[in-house]
Amino acid sequence: MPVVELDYGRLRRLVAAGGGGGNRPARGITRKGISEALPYLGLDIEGEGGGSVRVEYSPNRPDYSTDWGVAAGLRGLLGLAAEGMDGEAGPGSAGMRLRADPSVSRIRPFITMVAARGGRLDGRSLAQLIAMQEDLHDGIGRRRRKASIGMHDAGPVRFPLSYTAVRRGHRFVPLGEKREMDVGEVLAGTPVGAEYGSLLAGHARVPVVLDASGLTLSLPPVINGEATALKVSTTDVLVEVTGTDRTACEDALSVAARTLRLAGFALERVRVSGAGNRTAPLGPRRMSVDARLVSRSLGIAMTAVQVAGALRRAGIRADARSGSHAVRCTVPRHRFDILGPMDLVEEALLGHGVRRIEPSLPPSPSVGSLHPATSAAREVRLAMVGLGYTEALSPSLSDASLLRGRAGRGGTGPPASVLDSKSAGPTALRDSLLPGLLDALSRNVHEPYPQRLFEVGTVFKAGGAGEPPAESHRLCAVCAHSGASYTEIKGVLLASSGAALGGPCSTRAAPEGAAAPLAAGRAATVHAGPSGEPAGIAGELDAGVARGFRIRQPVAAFEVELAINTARRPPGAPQEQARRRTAMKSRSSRCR
Amino acid sequence: MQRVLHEIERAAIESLDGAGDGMGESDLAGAAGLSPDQARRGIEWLRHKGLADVGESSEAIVTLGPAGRAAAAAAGRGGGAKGALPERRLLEILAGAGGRAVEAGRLQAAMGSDFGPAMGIARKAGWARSGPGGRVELAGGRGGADKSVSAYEGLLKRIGEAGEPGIAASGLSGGEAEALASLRRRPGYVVERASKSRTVRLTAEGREAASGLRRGGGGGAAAAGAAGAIDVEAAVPAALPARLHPLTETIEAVRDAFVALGFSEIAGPHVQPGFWNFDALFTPQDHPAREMQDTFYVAGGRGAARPAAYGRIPAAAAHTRAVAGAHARGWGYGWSAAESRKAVLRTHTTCVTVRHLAERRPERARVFSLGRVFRNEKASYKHLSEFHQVEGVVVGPGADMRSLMGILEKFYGMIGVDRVKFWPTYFPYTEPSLQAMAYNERHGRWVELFGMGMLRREVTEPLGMGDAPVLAWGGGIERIAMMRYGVDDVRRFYGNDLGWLRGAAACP
Repeated sequence: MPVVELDYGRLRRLVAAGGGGGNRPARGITRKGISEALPYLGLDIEGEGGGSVRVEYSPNRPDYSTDWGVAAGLRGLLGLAAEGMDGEAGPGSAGMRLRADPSVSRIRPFITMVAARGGRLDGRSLAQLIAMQEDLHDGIGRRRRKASIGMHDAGPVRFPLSYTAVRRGHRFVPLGEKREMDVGEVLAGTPVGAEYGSLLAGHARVPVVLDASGLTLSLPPVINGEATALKVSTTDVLVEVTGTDRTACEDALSVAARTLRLAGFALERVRVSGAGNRTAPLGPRRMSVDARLVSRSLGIAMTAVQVAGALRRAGIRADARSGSHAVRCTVPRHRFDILGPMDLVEEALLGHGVRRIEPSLPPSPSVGSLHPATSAAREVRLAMVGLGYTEALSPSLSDASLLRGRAGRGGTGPPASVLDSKSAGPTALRDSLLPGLLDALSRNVHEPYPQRLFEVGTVFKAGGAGEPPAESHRLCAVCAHSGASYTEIKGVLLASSGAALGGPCSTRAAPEGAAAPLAAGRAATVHAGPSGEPAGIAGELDAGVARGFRIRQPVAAFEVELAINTARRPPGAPQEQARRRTAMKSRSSRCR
Repeated sequence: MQRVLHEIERAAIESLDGAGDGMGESDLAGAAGLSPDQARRGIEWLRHKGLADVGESSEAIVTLGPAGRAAAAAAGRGGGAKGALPERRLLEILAGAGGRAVEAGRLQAAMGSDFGPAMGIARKAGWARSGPGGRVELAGGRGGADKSVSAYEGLLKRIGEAGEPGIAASGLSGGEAEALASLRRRPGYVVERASKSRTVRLTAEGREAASGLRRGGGGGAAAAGAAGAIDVEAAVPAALPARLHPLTETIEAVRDAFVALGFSEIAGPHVQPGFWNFDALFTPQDHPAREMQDTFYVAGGRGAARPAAYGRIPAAAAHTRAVAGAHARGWGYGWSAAESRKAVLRTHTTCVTVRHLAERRPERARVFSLGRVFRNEKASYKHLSEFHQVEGVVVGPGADMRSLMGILEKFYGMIGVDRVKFWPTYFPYTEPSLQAMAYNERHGRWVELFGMGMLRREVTEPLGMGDAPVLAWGGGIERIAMMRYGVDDVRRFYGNDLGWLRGAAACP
């Protein structure tokens, strides 16, 4: 989730002044009050210190990516008047036009723009705007693919503008550089070029925004031109959004427009046309929510008038007439996360105040129960602890080398795996629990012996080509000490067989390699069920494998598939329940 | 005071009782009839109980070096045999000259490099002198000289006879000590080493115990308490407990709490089609959470570079169409069935729940699901790429946010989390959404536990549940276990550190 850094002093002034960047003292707005209210806007405090606070905001609220947005939210929540300043941009002068050329249609078809005039910026304000721009790129913009924003100093810009595709030999001075470079050089020789140039790959020509005098405003979605860079002295700003998704572009523009408005700028329309483009509407939508839906969903009784009041505190203009359940709302353009009535229910909850809702436990209409596999696993764990075994837990995602070579199971086919990723973590899905337990023994050679460990867990058997792996529950046990032997582990296997295998089991000499990594001649296959189906392996660990794990004590182990997989004896199966019922009945009749 | 003594302790006390100055360890073992190991243990126990003191002393032990052994052997054969002390050879030559002085040159030729040192010793002892013309003669006849040299030889012989154990330097007479001092200066004659020895003495309390034993007669059982009594305060070897994993204990406590609140457990596979994990939960197909950097895609078999595909997603075709429609309307894009068939390691247990709802379409239900989930994150002290999550839903009349908060508050109380509050948050598939915060006493701050909310219509409508309210919540178990067991690094739960597993206790 994105993080925004807020300066308490600035935030207090903004909350007190109500936008516009005024400098009125923040009387009554305390740092503590702000810090306590932030979470109720849905902002998570990441850290505090040095007069500032870092908060994480939800991706559905990019309008909280600056302190102006957060201050506006706080003003609503603290009842300091709602903002009534969202709406269409004012009409700009007639010449403020931008025309898109069809040459961009197959590269980056959409563009939209708005002008913001008469503001004042300082260093912190600039930092907030840049941070907002980056957050929009990563969120709505999907790393600049769907939408990217360029903010320009409107001072040197001559209308009308054009959005068109040019050859890669096109030259301009990119942001942060002192000399002219051609597009190819920008894409290859600057960090942002290297990062985002791939978005223009496959096109001989690239999109640029040019002004009437041929000045390059930007090379979207990579970089702006140096000539129109925002400065502390900038008073008029042009916001340009380009992308591959019109909705994303217009959403991003609405957030930038709203933010600049809160920062004290007046919006002016730039007429956009050409190649299927339009001037983005910035006006609000009308929606309605039924107060009864709000009451029913929140579990508290609220009248339509109360709902309207709560919505206003959440920054949504709303009004209700007494005698009607309908609450009519005006949803500002930048609240594109509000899709339907339930979203307004949430706004009403925020405006009403989560703190004001007293939790209440409803009576349960049902009786709870565990899943049969949980009951079965519990029974197995209890049996193993009773036999003196301590439970270990290993990750399902493991190293292929641990599952194969190190565990002496090289003869088995490759395990199921996940696709490689940047994290470079383990990618193999375990198909046996034993390697994990051997690894555990290996990590504990300094601990007192005897060591007896078990694990109950899921293993994944690689599926056929293109198929997902098959999952099953297993039990694995290892014992390590000077006297560990097949005899001991078979005793444990038999003692846990009822719980794990649903009944008695038998052991047969394992054919060569069938019970790796257990030692040839000292290992068995385990068989259970009426027809003696194979259920696992048991035996003494191969000495070479033990050495590989640096275990200096003899090790004996078994690993079996739990009966719950094959439903050999599903706990709670009808006949089982019937048997238990009979037993209970006979007991109770005896009591009588 | 009644004191229980082990047999070894009794035997040791009885032997020490007679030895006022104390005894060495090995002497004590011999006297008390104990093996060296028993004696050592007995002494440790007595010392621990304050019944005996152990003094440690260090002593110089002398044995013969190679030259010393040769000289001792030569002295045994008599005369100036090969290997004898240089001064013995000088003495024998001078004595053989029959009282006449011998020229130094001849002596030099006969004795080689031994002549100088031998002459020095003899002159210092006063039995030889150099006369005019560099001649050497005995100073006071053979008797005195012999006596002087024999003292050295006697000491060498005595040390030689003691063999490898050697003799203690402190036990030598005055003359012997002088001889030793001289021999020490000559290379290869004697070897000295330090020997540490422990002397055990009874303390006043120990002597009291001894007299108790004496009064009790024989074994002293009466003084030592009832017959056959054992020392209940003695240290014992550690017993190694077998136990469930702390994380399992937490998981089972969570399950029990849900069952007690009337919830039935449901389960499903770890590998799921993206459809249940994402699409059915209104997560758009270009959502960052679906990228490989965040989600594990299961490879489609041997060395495949593409995800495995579920041949058919077990959902009604109408359901799939409805999901496609919801995405088209809500997110405005063309939904791809192929994308939804890619196999992923589930990133939450919600996929199990939503599939259950799609299959049963219950009018009323309380179900929960608990299991491992996977996120492609780098492991750190607070994040794992694989962890446990629990998730519950309530369907039916009266399913509202206030009840949801009530259920969660009760649930937390049942697993020992008493201070809970709720903050708004955002999840793509619930609206309204809240997060439950729990107060971590140890760290003195609020930590996020579970996310919760009402499933969006975009989720429930395609499930065939219309606009029925469905409460849903879920969260990680490891975080709860960290609070329960005072663990600060979540990796501990999968480290299988036996020392910790054997000893970890839940915080009170």
